[in-house]
Amino acid sequence: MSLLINIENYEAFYLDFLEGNLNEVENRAFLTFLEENPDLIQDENLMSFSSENSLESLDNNFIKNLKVFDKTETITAENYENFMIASVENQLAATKQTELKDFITKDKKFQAEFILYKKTILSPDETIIYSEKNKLKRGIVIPLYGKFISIAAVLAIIFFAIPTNNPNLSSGELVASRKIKIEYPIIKRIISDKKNSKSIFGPTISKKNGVYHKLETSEIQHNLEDNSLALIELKVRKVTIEIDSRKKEIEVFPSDFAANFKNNKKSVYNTIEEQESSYLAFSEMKNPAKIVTNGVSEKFKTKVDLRTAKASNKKQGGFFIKIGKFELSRKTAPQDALAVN
Amino acid sequence: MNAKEYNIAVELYADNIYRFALKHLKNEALAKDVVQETFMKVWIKHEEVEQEKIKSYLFTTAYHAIIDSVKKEKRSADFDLVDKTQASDTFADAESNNNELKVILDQALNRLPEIQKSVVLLRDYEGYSYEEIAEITSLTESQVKVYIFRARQSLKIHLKEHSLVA
Repeated sequence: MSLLINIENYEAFYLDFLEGNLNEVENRAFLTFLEENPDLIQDENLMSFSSENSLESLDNNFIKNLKVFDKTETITAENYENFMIASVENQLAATKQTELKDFITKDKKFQAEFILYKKTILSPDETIIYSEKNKLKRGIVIPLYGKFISIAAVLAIIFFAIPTNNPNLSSGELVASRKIKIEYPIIKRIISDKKNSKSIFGPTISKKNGVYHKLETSEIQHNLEDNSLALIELKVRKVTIEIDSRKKEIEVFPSDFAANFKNNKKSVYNTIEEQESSYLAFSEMKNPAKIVTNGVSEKFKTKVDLRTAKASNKKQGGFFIKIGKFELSRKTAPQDALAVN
Repeated sequence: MNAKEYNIAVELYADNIYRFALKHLKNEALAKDVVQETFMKVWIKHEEVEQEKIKSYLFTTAYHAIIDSVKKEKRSADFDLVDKTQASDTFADAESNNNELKVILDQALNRLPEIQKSVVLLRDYEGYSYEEIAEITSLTESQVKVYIFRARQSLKIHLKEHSLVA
């Protein structure tokens, strides 16, 4: 019978034992189980089985005290507790509630008892909370601190290790295949050069209030009496460039344009073409730490790439880093441009 | 149940399960373990669990985790002794600001057998019906009623002993 009653199910048998629902064989099996498991007798439920009573007599004691609650019974001094508990449990019919109320009012002792039963209803202390709910949640990407810190550290090292010393060039632009489209040519060519004045051919611009504006006509001459003044005024222009089919407006016409303009009477177009050729393409960059980036990619199961190129006289330098979907790049100017500055 | 529904369940029921476990185990670390274990098990089976039944599923899982934890404690007598000493101190401190009735009720609750404690907590804290409690605890409905009856009697006797008669 010990196969029937075990440590997992003995409580159910215990209740049935108390309620007198066990048949003779089950009753004997339960008592045998208790004898075989004396440690269970230390359980408060079973405590009273131990010293005061023999196992054989216990069932009688418990069963004697066990009363099946019949809600239709008349409330008496013997069964009033059942009704009080049913009342606080909201299990009593309205008629019985009235009967209980009448019963209670007869005796202060019962009133006190009923008040005590009402007080047995427990309420949770809602100040006790589980503070780590976020750790339980799923399906939300929470970067691991270690991973996050590693990536941040790599980014910081790269960002500060590569010099970026040309303030005239825009920084943080994507390094990628690109086309440059000049929205409007600023100055096509210099057509004359006198002592203190220059006539330049600017097809679509004119000066108004010190600012150059796009004009309708294609042949406009603009005399610049003071060369240096012209250079200052011409130092920055907006052009539209295409980077991987995305249009982006940037400011160009840096001082290397001016230098060409001033010294060589060179076509601005030529200068722009030179600048275009100075652009750094992604394919021209190399990964100086391929082993490291491959290792990091492998470890974190995230694509990590690093590309760098040093600036030459005519060529931009810069870096490009990619971690998963995150990309960051930065360019440095060609050495020639820096020399002019 | 999808991840979103699961996360809502975390927000709604983690506190309740924690309180339920803490009342049984009287040890914050063990109670937290129960919460973690419960939600982990539910997440493993989240595709099978219907959202409407999530609370019942969580409490069923938590109840069994608590029973396992209690059994482990009983098997480790030294641990049990030390832990309960610490737990009772913690509880005494935690409840020191509460009113007298709450303190006495807590003492009374802690004296109840685990099964009585479970059913009365599920009944009072969570408002479960006898049928739902029976489902969670794998008891019959009549057994649940008997346990609740005994629990209320014990609580009342304890209150009476401490002269909290109006």
